[in-house]
Amino acid sequence: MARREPSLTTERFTTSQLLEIDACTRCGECLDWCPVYEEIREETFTPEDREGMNDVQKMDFAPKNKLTGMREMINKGYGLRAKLFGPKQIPEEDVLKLKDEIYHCTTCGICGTVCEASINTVEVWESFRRNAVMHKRGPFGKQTGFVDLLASHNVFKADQEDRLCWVPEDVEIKDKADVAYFTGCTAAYRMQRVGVATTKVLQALDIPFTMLGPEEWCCVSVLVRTGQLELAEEFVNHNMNAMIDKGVKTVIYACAGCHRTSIIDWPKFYEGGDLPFEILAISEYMDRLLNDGTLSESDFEWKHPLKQRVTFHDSCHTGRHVGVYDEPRRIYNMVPGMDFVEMARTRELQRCCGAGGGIKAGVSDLALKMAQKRVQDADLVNADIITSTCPFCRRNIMDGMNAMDTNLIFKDQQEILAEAMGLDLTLPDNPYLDKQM
Amino acid sequence: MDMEYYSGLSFLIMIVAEFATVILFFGGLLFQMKKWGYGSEGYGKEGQGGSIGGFLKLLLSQIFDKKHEQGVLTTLVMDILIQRRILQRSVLRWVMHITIFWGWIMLFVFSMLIFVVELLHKYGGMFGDTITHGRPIVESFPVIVTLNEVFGYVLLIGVLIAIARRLFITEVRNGTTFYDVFLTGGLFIIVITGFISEWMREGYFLEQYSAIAPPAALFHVVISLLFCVAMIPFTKYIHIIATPLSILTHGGGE
Repeated sequence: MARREPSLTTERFTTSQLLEIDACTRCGECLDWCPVYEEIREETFTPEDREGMNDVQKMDFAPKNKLTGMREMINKGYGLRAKLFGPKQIPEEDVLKLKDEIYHCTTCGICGTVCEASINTVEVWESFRRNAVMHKRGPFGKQTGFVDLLASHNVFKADQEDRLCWVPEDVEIKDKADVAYFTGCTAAYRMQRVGVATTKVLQALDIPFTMLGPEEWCCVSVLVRTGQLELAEEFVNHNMNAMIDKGVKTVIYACAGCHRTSIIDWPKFYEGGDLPFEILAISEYMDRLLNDGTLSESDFEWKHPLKQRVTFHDSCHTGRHVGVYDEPRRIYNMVPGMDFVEMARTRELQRCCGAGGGIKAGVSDLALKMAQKRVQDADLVNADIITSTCPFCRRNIMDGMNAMDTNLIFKDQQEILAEAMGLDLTLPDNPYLDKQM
Repeated sequence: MDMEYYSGLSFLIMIVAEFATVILFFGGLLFQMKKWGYGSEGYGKEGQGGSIGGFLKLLLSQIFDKKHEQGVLTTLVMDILIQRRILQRSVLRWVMHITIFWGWIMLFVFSMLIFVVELLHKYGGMFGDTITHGRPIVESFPVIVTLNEVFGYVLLIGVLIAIARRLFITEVRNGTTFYDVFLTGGLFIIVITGFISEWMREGYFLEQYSAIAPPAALFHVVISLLFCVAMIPFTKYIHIIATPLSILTHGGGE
């Protein structure tokens, strides 16, 4: 008789991750920080089909219990008893329950940051999600649509030929350059003001740059976060080869999601091994140029002091995942007149806005509640503007602000720089003007 | 004559208990490593089919990965022996864990030390002038007796904090499972039986029960071996091995 397969296999888990699952001491620190568990515990959000949960059941959405669930299921398939008598079958509904819990996660990584056992939780969740997709248990809700959307090579099913339709006429994009600006789908089609601001600032600072245009495909963040990796290798290698064709040495990003995916995930899929160019957040790049003397503060030629109180939301992706904290702050601190104030939770302990990990698409109500919490954080320090370096945070936080009674407004870092430099951010006429967020 | 060895227990019982413990511990550990070895070497790669060698090779390469921001020794001292990651998050939890950790380690070390002394005495004829016959050998080493007591109390403090957390902090209590109770409860039973079996010896305040001191000591020793060593790979005690390894593979740090 054929041996039964474990109900939860170890496919996609690395040896380190299987070790880490056993390393959880169940200390409960993650319960104090997980933004998803916070909403569920406070009952500001209740997951579908989980109405009436008691306090113990709510904990199933906390990282500690997710790891425990994985450990128990893996042990039933690979533990001593399984070796002697065969894997103990777990009811499929139990596996699906755990799957739903693990998809209720923004992969913000705060649980890993505070974890006493140093567990790289984000990678564990993503491996589980990939395993779930392989076994046709995942992804979750509308996340299934990502693959179809990407048939167009971008997440908005827009025409790739329009990838640069937003670039102002007075901005010069070099055919080849050492520096490439990777726009990302959101800035190209839905937040073109961020793209315009970025290109205008680069040009004003005399930084020659190139862009991939129609050859810039989605960075595949949405696929990696949700475990749908079928297209990832093709997309990554396409982008990599397009960059290499342009002779690029440094790729810069004004999108935290694309930045994180490129620096952490692309090497996992790139056939050529190590990436042949450097990947930097645009604030990192500017900070470097300022430090090495290529740029000076006077090059910014400030024209309009920003007489407002501004607070900075560290995106999970560029912040906790990549570790860029000081550089964006140093750039903000140059802006004349700005009253820069930090929220209570910043840097590696920042509060996730709720947009990531497929939550915005899969569990949008939850994303909205988390965004509102972050807006409240900014309100508490009496900020006029909340700013970030992530178009996805921007979208979710703006949704949160729209659902609240607040006078706060959101501006991307590049918008703030461009406005203070007196640059014109008018969007050129293009087919996506009515779709701007 | 044999009764003077191993805290008043017979040599045969001790050897059988220790042999069984070693088999269970190493057998279980190999089994766990085999389970970890089902994972892949890296992202997106095929699993290693339960290769213990593959697991160990990868483990070593990750521990000594040159990309880590701090050296292995720093990680070992700051993040495993001093446990600064816990201290950074919660002083109470750090006191709880550091006392359990060091209490457990030091009691284990002293027990092993006395075990070695007893073997050397029995088979090598050493310590003949030091050891008082007819009494548990540990009593011939007052420093060890004192240190055993000190670290016994250190362990007890940690275990009591752990129990109090699980009883009185609502969220911790709600999240407590048998997996947690087995660990905390096991440690509590070990430390309490250790004290009681000691207090039953002559010269202590429970000496009126000295007749049952040997079986009490037997109980303490056997469950200590069972809980603190043999069951490590099969229970929450596995974190004694898995957590330091996880910290080392990630290069530690705050």
